[in-house]
Amino acid sequence: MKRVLFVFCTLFAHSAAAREPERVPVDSALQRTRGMSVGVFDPLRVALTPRLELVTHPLLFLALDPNARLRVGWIRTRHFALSGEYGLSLPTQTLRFTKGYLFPTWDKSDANVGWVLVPSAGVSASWLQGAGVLSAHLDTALGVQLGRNDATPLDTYAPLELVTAPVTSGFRHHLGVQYDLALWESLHVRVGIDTHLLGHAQRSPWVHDARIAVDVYPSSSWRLSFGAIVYDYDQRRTEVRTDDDGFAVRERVRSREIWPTFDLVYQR
Amino acid sequence: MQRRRILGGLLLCVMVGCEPLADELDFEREAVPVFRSQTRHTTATRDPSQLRVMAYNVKFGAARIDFWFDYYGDRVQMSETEVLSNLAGLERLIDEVDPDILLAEEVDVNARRSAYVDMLQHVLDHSALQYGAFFESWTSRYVPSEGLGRIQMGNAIFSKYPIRFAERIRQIDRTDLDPLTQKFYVRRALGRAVIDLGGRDVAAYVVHTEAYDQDGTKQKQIRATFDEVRGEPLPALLGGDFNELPPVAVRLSDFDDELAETVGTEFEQPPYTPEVMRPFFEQMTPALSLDDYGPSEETQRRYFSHTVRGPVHGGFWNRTLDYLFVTRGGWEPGKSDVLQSPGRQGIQSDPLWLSDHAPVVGTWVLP
Repeated sequence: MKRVLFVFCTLFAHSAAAREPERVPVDSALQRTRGMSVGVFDPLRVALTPRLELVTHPLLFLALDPNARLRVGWIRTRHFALSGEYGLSLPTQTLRFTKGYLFPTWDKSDANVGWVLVPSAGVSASWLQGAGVLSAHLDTALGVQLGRNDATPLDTYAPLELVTAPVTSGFRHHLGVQYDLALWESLHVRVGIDTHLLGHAQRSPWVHDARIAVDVYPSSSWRLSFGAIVYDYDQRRTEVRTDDDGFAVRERVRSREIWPTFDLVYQR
Repeated sequence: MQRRRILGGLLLCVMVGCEPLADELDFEREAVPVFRSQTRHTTATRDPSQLRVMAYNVKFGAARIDFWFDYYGDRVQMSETEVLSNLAGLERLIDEVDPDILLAEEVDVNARRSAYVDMLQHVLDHSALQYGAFFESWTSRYVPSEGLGRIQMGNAIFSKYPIRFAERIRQIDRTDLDPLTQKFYVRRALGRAVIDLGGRDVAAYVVHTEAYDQDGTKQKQIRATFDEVRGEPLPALLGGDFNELPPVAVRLSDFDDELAETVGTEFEQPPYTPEVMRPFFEQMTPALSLDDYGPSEETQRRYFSHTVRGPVHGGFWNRTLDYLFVTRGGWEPGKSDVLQSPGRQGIQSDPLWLSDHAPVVGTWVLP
């Protein structure tokens, strides 16, 4: 019995050492070359080949929302990486589950959130210099209507507005820059800025954000990330100011708010 | 230390820009700003002896579009084209009546359902009314129900004469709602404006009480309105949608616009308690008296001012919920009416298509 236990532990230790999780700079052009990771909010990422990574939110499949992205590593050198990203999702059913809340119930007509296919494509580039990684992203997601669609822009909080934009606004273009600095091997700090351009609506189509996050690696298999993101966007807010004669004038202003960010990611 | 200052400053900037989820109207009395017309500038008769007045629930410019809460339809949102077209109809009627003071309810100034049109400013810019005070009763950044989204609605007092001062007076809230609904629900407020007629001041009050409560909130709001206006030192005009029948009303239930499917929902019509309106008729001077209403449903039908069921569904006004009262002075005979249809008081517009309420008009003979 002791021999069996010894062999088992040796094998386990050996396999554990051989399966040391790959640590990939977060939100960079570098994709996983082996293994997988999944977070509370971060999607499931699986290295299919050293240059091909599959990204998907598996829980959304339960909501009948098929979704997948392929990240393709085009160039990878010691100091530079360039990758492309190609995705496809069908978020209609997930959005239909929110009828009565985000969307009307529409129980007296045949209005509905339509079937909208969302193809996406993007390119990412990262420059690796010492302990820092500078990354830039450019991507777009389009809403391809497969029939009638009565969903209109929600004019809601920025995170939700961005996620639903391809269906409600027609498209979402994104440009972002991020810098990831490894203070220690187990502690990284990331700062970034993004700008998004959303589709047809009478409000301003621009959504900007600035973010900061701290990534802590308590072990090689776990990453804990927490931070904050500040959004600047048009949520149709107005303010009343006083004119020179003392009368009130209502004016449109942009909304600005801070959101906490958090994630717990497992990787192997 | 420098880094802390920068971080603190950044945080302050961000937090200052943050908008609350909903305005809970945490006050008892609060001054409100006065708006004025940006386009039309007319001069009203200085120190008049009479004022043409009007009370009108404009249903946020939705005319006879069947919104979801009436159960005849499921609309939640209007396009800007629809809103502007409906407002044009309302403003045509307002111009036909040509009131000196308009007491309006359900005025949206920045709401998703009405394409974010500022109706207060639109009326000021497209009518002879020069000044407007807005009394918020429902402000929420995003209401996560039926896609309602942002809402900013209230009552308004419009006047040809300068509004010297305006304030909103908090009314009691419903107590029969769950905490989450309560957070995003309407907060009723009485609107008061002091109007400078050029030789004296008068006070105008606009009211819109609760419609769907099951805990007696409406009755409390009506009594509080009476107490407030009775204590007004200036000659006062009171008008609006009381959501209550007159004390001589014959039909108290089973109205022809109430659908069976509303029973058990949050939009089920609670029982009316018309006696709560009696003090207004006995201790103030109504534009339409109890004698005017008469003793039967046939005589009272002439002054019905509300129906949920629009003309598309074969509906017509079926109950009186809207009133005008003054505390001093009187009413010019023959000039008080509920504008139910073309021809009333010489109008050409058809109010049945413009809102689920008909306007009440009268000519206030000042004391």
